[in-house]
Amino acid sequence: MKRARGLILAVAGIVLLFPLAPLLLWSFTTYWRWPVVWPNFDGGHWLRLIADGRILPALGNSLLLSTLITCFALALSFFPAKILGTRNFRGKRLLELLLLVPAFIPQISVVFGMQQVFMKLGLYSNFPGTLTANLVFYVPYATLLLAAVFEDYDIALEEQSRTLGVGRLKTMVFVTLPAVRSGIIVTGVFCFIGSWAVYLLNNVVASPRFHTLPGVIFPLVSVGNNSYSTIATAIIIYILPVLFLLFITSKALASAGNLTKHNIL
Amino acid sequence: MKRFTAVLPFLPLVVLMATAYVWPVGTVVRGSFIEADGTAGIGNYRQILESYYFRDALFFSLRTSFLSTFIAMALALVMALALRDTFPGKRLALFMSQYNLSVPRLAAAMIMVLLLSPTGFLSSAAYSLGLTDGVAGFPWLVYDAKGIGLVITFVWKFFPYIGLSVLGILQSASRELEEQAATLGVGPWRRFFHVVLPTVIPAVTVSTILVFAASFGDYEAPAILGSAQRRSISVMLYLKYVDPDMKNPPEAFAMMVLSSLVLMVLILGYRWLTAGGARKRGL
Amino acid sequence: MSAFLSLENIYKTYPGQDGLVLADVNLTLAKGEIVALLGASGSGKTTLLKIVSGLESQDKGRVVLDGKILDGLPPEKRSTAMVFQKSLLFRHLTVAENINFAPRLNRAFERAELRARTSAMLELLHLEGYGRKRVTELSGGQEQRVSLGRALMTEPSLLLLDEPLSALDINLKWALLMEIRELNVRLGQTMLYVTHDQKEAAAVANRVAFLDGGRLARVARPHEFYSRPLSLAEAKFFGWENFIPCSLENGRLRSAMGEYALPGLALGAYRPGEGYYMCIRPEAAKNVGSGAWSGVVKSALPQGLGTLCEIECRGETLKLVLPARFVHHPGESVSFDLDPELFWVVPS
Repeated sequence: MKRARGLILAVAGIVLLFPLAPLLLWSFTTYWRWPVVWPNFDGGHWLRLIADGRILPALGNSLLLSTLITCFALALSFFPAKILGTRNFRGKRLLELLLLVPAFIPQISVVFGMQQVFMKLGLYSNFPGTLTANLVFYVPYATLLLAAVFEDYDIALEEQSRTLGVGRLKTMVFVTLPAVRSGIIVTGVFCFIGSWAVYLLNNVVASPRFHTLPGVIFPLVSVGNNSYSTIATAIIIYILPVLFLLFITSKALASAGNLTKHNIL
Repeated sequence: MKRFTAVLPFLPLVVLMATAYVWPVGTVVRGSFIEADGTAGIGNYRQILESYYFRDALFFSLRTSFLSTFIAMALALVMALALRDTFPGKRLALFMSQYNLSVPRLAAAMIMVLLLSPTGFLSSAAYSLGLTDGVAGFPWLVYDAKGIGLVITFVWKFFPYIGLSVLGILQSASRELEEQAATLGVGPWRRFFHVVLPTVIPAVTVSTILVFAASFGDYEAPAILGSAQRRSISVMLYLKYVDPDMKNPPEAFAMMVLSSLVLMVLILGYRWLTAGGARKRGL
Repeated sequence: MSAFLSLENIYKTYPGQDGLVLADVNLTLAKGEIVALLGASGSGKTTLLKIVSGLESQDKGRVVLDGKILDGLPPEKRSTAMVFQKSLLFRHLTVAENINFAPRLNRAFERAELRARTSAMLELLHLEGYGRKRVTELSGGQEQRVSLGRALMTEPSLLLLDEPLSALDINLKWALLMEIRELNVRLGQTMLYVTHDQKEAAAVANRVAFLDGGRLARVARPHEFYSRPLSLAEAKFFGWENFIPCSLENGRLRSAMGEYALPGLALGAYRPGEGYYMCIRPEAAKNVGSGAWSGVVKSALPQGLGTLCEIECRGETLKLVLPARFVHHPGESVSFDLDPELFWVVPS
């Protein structure tokens, strides 16, 4: 059993990490072409991409957008999730199912409808519109994740606090929030990571005037004749922030077992 | 009064979803019933049922996502079984097995291009080791009409999702049942098929469905490493809608509605099946 | 006795649930008193406690504490504090932070004063040296002590305890019961103590309020429930067994088992001709082997010092505890006497 585990983990580690090898190798190479495996070292692609003038503003936009999506999603989902997770009422299962719908239905079936509606509402191709469009997907998602967190939460803690003479607001800040802290972190991380990947939606609803990182990076592969080195460098810039985020929150994620137990993730 | 305070927190959610989701969906659905001459009818649907491109894209996507989900599930099980006990270095192993949760699908697809394309990293390595005698000797793993690159990308990207769920079950509910079965004299293989699988599969229904739906509806990966001969449904619908001729966007709307309906029917069917199985076993 | 807490005509129903949870409950507590609120599960005792604390509101009736009407006030505005069955400690805080939780958040004291009071409370509860520990490191009994200290730190006029010791093992339970009694004496703390365990109620309280199906059946000293139950439900709850239908004629009990005069009972309150139950406590058997009653053992369940036997006797099956030093087998005949002190009669 122990040997089997070692073997499985070793193979899995290689399979999982191996795809990152060409990224690291090629992003520091002058000019990579087939069939070179061990190229020379050169940091020029980094400088050129950064000097390009599109990547950095898009990175800023993406950071801002994903941060705001995460904050809004957490704020709007907190109270509904608490009710869903701590109370039983008729139609609860149906409500949970409805909240899953935006995650099920292919986005391609919805985005052009959104484009038309957002044009009518003055939300097309601007920041508030892009934010709203993303929230449509991340508020229900966060609600379901947080509801699973609240299923493990004992509402009697609040009753206890209030019978001790502590008011509603202070109870929420000093009892409820600390009790579900790691669940909130996990939910926030998943919202951030999810929204970091959004390309199609932003491309259709926000494209002409608002650029996010995937919107700038996508054409590198699909349009033009960029070298693999440029692409590799751009990918690293793209995935580094979320990788870092996942790393610093890995401790909270280890407790995500509580979430998966409830069959949501 | 009490009722009102219970409903109030849902208000922003409902307003958001009604205006920015239900309304757009309504627009698409209504649009799908407007025929070329401007009257309402089901002509678009009749037309696309005869469309080879639609059927081909639908089957291609269903096949790709079915394969991806199945393989991801199998890998997730193996991985979770290897990870479930405590051992030194477990936290690192957990992080390693989950880091690509954070890698966006767009980046995952691009990474696979760098890795698997005929002029990519593996091809270079194979040539350097003398395994192939040139670019042409390396198999087409991306841009291929079979969707191999897509399946590899989806499996690599999605199996941690299922793995996380499976691990949760294996560490709690399933463990006690297995120990019970072992004390009753049931061997390891039978335990796996008669205890582990029946416990795990219904419990990860939602993650399985999410992975299936995400592979089915994904646009970025097939747009980057799909083939031009066989398009996946999202790419086909995108091209159909933004087609410069714009002859018939309602037809594209009808295709969007129909493909979503097919997906919903499959999902509900699967859910019903696993839930039914679980009920029969009293889980 | 001047009422410190008075519950007046409390009624409560839950929406979508048939019947009253509480019906016309009246109860008063004097300052410094412990009253145990005793009842089976579903008798409404926790609901009553929640009404006093403000976590639930009654449909009708008033709650008056120290001359102040509490109705409509939220829990945090009432000078009551509650200790629950689960310790409900805040896991992100240390033991000391749990204990001074409420006064700290409400800025009730200066910092130095708060620290002094916290360590005094730790000392009072025999938790010296635990202040900086995380609450996850505590044992079950310590957890419940912290919970108690956290409530006492608010200096409540009335301390409400909802089965605080039910989750603890038996030895710990008795030790903590003693401590709670001591706290009552030392601090003069008024307490309303909910429990479903008659022994616990008898041990902790001077007066027991017995709730039966949402009605306050009786408020009395604990021993009165044991020796003189007023109803069948009460008798069953306080450990009586063997309920034999009987009637009263000429000051004698007549039942299927025969006719008895019961010396020592005040029979004046009972009217001839009506139906009664004769109750016999299982501990009533004495003079085993030489008594005037005889019967056949049907089953025997050893219980340590005694053996609980079902004995077929004069057409009835009696459950009696016989001393374990005699070995009893089913089918064997035994003779015994019944202690008249452990006989009682309740109306049917």
